[in-house]
Amino acid sequence: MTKRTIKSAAGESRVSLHDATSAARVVYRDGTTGRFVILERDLAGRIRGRASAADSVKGTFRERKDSAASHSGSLRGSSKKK
Amino acid sequence: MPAKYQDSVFLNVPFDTTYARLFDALVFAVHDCGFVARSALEIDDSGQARVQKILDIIEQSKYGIHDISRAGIDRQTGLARFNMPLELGFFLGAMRYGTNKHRQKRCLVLDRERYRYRNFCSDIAGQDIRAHANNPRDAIRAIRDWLSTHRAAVQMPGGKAMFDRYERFRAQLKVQAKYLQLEVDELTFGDYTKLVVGWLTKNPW
Repeated sequence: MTKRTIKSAAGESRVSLHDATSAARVVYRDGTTGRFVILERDLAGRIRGRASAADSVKGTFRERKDSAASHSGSLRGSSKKK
Repeated sequence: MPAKYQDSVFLNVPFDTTYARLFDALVFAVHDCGFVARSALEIDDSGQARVQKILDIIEQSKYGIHDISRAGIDRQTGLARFNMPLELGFFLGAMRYGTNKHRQKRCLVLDRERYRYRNFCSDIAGQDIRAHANNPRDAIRAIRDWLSTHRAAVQMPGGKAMFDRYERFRAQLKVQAKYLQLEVDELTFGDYTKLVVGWLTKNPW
């Protein structure tokens, strides 16, 4: 006996199979409550990835802010001198 | 890559909102059985005549699933809905008059009740006819049982297990769609089938 292979979708869509698979969640039914439980692990990983990317962007802004502050400080310094 | 002839399943079903939950279940079952769901909705080309689009898909599909459960009187117009029986006729005509490839076509007729067709479309007697009782569970089971006969070498889960998979897919669909900045009630046929295939890829039998 063989298992089936999943075939590509036929319809037109801008969603790629890679994105659809990445977005898909693993779901299981809780044996006690009978409710579906959606595993968010992959999503959490993506969010973590995005958060770290956002941090790096913030860091860049912080650096720019710092450099701007030091720059303005130097201007203030120069005005004080006057 | 275009779908192969021997994998393509033409879905001849109504496209109204009341049928949507059955349609979604059919598309899922077809893909979970390892086939490709084909529909007139798959091409968004208003320039192409609808009937030409349907004939093209019939030509490209070895299998056809024809739901005649809504072939009754339309409440708004008071007229019969002929599209599904008409397209079933196209498919049967291709089986009868087509080349050798088309003579190997196979079709399944779905209805609410198994023998209701005798009252309005009795000439289709002899075709494979199954009832879904307007119920996604029964529809999935009917599709699974029928398609499994055409993939004898493939060990498929039973209808109950496949419906459980469908319920798990539906449970996460909103999250899956949201992640792609889509809303479930706005999904096109192409979007929906992509999400189905994505989920099946991640959730093997």
